[in-house]
Amino acid sequence: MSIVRTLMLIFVLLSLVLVANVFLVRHIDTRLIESYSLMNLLYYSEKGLALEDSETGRVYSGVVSSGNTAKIDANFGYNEAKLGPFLAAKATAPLPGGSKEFYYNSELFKDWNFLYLAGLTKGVGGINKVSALKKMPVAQSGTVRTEEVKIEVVSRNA
Amino acid sequence: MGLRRLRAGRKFGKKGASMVILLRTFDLVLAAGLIIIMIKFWGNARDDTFLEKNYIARDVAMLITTSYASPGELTYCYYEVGDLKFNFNYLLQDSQIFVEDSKGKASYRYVEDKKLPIALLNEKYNKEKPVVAFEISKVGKQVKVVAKRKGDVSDTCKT
Repeated sequence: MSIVRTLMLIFVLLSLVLVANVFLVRHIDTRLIESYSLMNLLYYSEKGLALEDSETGRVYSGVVSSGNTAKIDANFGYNEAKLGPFLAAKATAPLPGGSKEFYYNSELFKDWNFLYLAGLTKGVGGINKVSALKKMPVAQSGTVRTEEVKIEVVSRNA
Repeated sequence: MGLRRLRAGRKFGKKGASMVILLRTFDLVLAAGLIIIMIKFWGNARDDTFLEKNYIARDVAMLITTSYASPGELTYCYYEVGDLKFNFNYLLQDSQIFVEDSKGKASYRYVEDKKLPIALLNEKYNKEKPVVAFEISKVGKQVKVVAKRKGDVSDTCKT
């Protein structure tokens, strides 16, 4: 009987410590903010979906053209961080002749998007995805039209 | 309680009574020990600064990333918010910002543009002149993070 009482006492006191531990905030999840930040970067920044005039050297941010693809990865150094890439994005813009897709970390986007569609969204390695549609000017062959551009950003739980 | 003790005494004699006292004492010592551990644990949790360091590291890293992404020049002042004080050591290195004190360090990555170098930052905590704001600026061909201390003169950050 005394042993049972002693064990109960230990259990109750340790439970108090464990319950207090549950309410301690140690981790901050900023994936959502960073995903939206990358999305806005692609929309508005000269390093994102921007049209570069090769003759004048001027950059028109917020204009999609078929030549945008290589620029995004080359100019922006998310991959430079030693901890490795943690975001990937895809922009889909309707162009005459069919939609064109622009990627940031294309292989990662395809892998992580697959995991997201498979339902792996929770826990370590879980995938988070945000997407938005926005009307943007799209330039091709000297003409500019307003079309809806979809941007999807995926990020992985560390 | 007295009845139980009487019964113990009757069954085991003097030995039973001392056994009960021994067990009671053991319970008290155990409870005292566990309460001391709990108080120490809660004290450490209250005094721990990892959340603050992690918060500041992520905030400043995201501000650096945003300044790189901006199409033009910008200067932004990041002030202390509420109870969050900037009483730590700061280091910008290898595309990471490190926020450190005697209890440990937190770090977070920021994004760098290969064409725009960032001026490195290395600030130590000073009790007389603590850091009260960070001035993040993208001007010309450089991005800078400058720690503004109490009393420093600045065109943008009010210290």
